[in-house]
Amino acid sequence: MSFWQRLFSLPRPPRAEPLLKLRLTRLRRLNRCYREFLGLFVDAAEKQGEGFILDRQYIVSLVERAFRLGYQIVFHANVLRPGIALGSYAVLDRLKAATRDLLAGKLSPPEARLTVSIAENGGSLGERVGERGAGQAEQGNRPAGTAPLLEISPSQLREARRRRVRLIENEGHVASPGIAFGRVSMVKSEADLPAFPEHGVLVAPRLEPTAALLRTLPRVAAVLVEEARPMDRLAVLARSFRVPTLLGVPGATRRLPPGELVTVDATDTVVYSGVFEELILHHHLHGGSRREESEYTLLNGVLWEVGSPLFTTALPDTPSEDRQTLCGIVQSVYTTTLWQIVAGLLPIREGIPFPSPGFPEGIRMVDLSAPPPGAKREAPDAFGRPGRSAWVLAGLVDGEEGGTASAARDARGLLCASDESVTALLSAGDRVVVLEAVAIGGAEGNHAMVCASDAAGGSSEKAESLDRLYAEALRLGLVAVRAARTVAAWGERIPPGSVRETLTRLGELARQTALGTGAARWAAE
Amino acid sequence: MAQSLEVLVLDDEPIVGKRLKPALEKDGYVVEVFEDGRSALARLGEKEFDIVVTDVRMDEVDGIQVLEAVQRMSTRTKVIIITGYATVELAREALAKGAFDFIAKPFKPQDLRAVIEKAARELLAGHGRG
Repeated sequence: MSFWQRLFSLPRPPRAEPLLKLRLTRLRRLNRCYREFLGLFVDAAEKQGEGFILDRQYIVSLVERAFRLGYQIVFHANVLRPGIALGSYAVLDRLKAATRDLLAGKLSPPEARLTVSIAENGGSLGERVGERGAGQAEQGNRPAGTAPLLEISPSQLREARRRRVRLIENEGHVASPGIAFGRVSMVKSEADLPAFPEHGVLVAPRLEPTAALLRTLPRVAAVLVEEARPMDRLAVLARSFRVPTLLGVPGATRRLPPGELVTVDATDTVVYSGVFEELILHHHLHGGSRREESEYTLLNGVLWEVGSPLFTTALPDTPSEDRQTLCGIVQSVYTTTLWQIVAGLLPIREGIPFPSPGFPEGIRMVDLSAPPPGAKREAPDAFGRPGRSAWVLAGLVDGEEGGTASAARDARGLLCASDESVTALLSAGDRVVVLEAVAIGGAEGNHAMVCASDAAGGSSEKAESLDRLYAEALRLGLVAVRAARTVAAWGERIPPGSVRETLTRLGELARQTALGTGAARWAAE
Repeated sequence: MAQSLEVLVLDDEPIVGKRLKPALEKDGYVVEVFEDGRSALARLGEKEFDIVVTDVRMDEVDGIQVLEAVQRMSTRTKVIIITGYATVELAREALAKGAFDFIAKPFKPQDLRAVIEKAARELLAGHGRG
């Protein structure tokens, strides 16, 4: 029995191909839902990062879209594996009713939370929800005893701002709003991070989302990075830790001398010289933080409730910090959705143990989001999903022994990663564009990813990084195809629904890539 | 420029006033926030504000009513309308009735600050001419 037959539980070869075509089409639609989830994530992340006022209308709209996608995913999952997610309809219905009740109350009672209990859901879906809401609500309220003691008038603040020396003004993108002060401390490489001073202002030419950074962020007052974009993973990390952060600030390392005391207003993209006491006081009294806004607390709670009970793996070890940002919550919905699909397509019903005793013989599943047994490097589980992704990336790109990559190389057959991990893997090489990532695979075909890059236009360092990435992907058994951006459209020309042709062409492209002939010839055809 | 101008913010969603007040105060505006249209109208009857920022769709008193009330009380007060995407038509109606400008939700405080700054410039220019 081929991998495809095992994957889709097809009894006889003659029936296999048309059914495979239909199911692949369904899989594509499922992938479209993922992309929409990712769209939600991007939308929420942009709006949160850029400091939008997220009013109830927006929240309602976001929640409604999340439900719509939830229903679509359940539908597609049921078509792919009949009945596997039937119980999800009832779960979604009850959640939707409860959520609408909550929203109808204008999100006002911070203690309000959903308490939908799912006792019987077909054995494949979530267990229960509602226990985290209280903790988030507690964190969301201003602690007793922190009422304002002083006041500063708008005119005083205006005068103070006028007098202040501005080292940087209206430059950079807001990745995480807020105001903080501290002494400038330069980080030129990851080696500088362990000795980073408590409550320093981190200034760097660029910053990778590594485990070392995750350990450092809790003691960082603010972050300023020259080369970064608001949608980088770094921005997600900064928001997770609620560190005021500006990205893409040109010449920050040159303009901010190490050791200088500065005040960073990441909300208004201004860096003042010295400690701007009036502004800090005003922010303390009136600015608050997202954590203190009940709307955010409840929105996070609602979206978490929408996502988590739908799926088998609710990522119970994900720490609360990761869930306290809006984008983190939407991302977790996305992630758990993906895991549900992976679990639904493969013969695993309860969670995703690695390796699973029930897994088809000859195929080993490698979880890119967990450290392999005996890994030398410490897996930053305590830091949640961003940390694990960063750890995986470090393992793959650096090629360090003992990391996930080497464990994956030892795998006999299938590498099955969530799309998120695959996307993260590809994101490790800058300028890589994923055209399609399909959760298929096997000893003969493996995991297929269709991606494009314009590394030819980048620096040699980037090109080398990409080379390593693709070489690693090929060693892992992935079908990875590299093409210049100008010929990126080739991926879209692969006829949809034709499994055999798609795999044949992908295989040929992979072979050419491995031989160093690239995709240009294919694209020219 | 535009310092000491007084701004009334009216939106029935608490988060709007909560976020706008500190943002506008940073620019030196004196800000009063209301979540209830009737209280805001009562306050407008007591005091002339330079700029009024109001949501267009609220339960008891809508933004158009606030606009009309302000125009009856003071011809110099600039009214800025905040609108959800579902109520853009209503915002256009408000503009036709004399609102200074409108801004669509969701928005950043900086976006509104730019509109308020424009209104403030116009107010001060009008004051200078007068």
